Amino acid sequence: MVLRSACLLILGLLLPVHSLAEEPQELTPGSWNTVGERIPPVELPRIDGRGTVDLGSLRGRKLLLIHFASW
Amino acid sequence: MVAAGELQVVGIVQEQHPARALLFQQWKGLDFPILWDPFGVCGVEAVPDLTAVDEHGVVRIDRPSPKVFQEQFVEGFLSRSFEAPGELAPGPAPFRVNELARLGGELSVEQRARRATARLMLAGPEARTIDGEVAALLAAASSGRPRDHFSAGVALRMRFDGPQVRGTDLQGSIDAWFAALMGSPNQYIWRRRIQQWGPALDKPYAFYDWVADARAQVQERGDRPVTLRAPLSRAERALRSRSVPVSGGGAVAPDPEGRVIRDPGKLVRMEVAVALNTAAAGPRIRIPRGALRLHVVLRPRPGASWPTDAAPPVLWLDPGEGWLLSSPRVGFESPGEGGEQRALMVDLELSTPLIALGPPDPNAPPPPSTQTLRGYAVYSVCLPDGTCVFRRQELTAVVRYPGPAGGEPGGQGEGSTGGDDR
Repeated sequence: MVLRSACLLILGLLLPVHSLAEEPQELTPGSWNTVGERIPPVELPRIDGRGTVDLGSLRGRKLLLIHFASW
Repeated sequence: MVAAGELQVVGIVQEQHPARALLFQQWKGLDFPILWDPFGVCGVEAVPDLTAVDEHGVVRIDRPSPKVFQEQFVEGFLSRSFEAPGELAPGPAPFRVNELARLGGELSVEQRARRATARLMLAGPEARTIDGEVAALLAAASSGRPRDHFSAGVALRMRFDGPQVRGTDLQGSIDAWFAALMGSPNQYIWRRRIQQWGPALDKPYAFYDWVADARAQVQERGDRPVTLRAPLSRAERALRSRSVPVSGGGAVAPDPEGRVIRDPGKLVRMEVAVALNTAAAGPRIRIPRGALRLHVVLRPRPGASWPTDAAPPVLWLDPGEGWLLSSPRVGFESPGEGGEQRALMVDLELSTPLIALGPPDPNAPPPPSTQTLRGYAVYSVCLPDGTCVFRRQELTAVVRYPGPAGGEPGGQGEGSTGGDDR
């Protein structure tokens, strides 16, 4: 009985972590502009069709990130 | 510092059509990589936004101020090294487009939608078969989450621009964006997507009025401008306006007595969409309802084609009482050489008269939840055997306003093709 309760407790502690990994949280403006926080390692395609860029791979150099539109 | 490899610049655009941003990049000579986020997976709500990120990936300045550029940006960011941070709380899980596009196995509706989003982003606007991805995003949108509605609208618009287009895609995209905006009225990226194709009276600024100048200047430099495969609509080129349309008068109906033989949609499919002003996404709608943009697409059926030696199609609109428009007669652009089978598009602005200042009349009758616009198009079209004929097709567009009685906003339009949307 004690063993079963302990297993359930461990399972309960692990489940939220597992579900976070399965179902990613959505990004918000705060994901990009909160001073002191890391930017998320997002990978997006380039507009010129020349592959993708993973922002997480750009560490080691300072980065100026510009969200904009041509309109 | 960029040349020395100490600083890198990366742009992210949220536009539906990446080629337009690519033309802008070419025109302005921007030499940094620009990434494409049409579905808004980054979660940004307004642009422009500028962030200075240190060598460890940590945000150091949000929106550097030009007023203190030297102290804040040059001395406080560029000229100093930052310590590696200790353990930071894990941020939101990433969106990795290649990884998500390969998701397999038993997937939830949400996971299928994320995979579809990734696949559409990788395929880009040149994607030819996207029905499965569109279906996955529409299924997710049935949950009613604003973000899913927006994504569904982006996918529908991508299909509208591609070979799998259905007759309801243009209106469907606008309606989906409206549904998204009604759920999140402060999401300005979503609002701009509607305003891009919406009335000039609702525009915060012109969207793509710079394209002609950009093309000309790129050509003057001896370069070939980036091709915009999805043609610019008049609404996208229109300047911001704060005046209701004024009739120029004197327009002549192309078939006032209705003598031209009807095409019930067998030769040309007519697609109609209404983009309301985004104020209609608010909780309170005043009377009258304001401006809208009516979009009409004429698409030759397989085997039919536009003649190259005849005048292009003409649209005549008889909107009825209570609407203002600069002219009820609008000409389509010529299909041009090689464009015999391409879709021809036109759009025009309609407005109700200006709202009188003062509080709304509490005794006024409730406004109608729908209004119907009628008109017709006349065109020369060639049959598969090469014979060219002159035909007329009727237009009916039902404008649906949001609200308790109006349901989802937008329009429901059709030519004579009825429910055949393929």
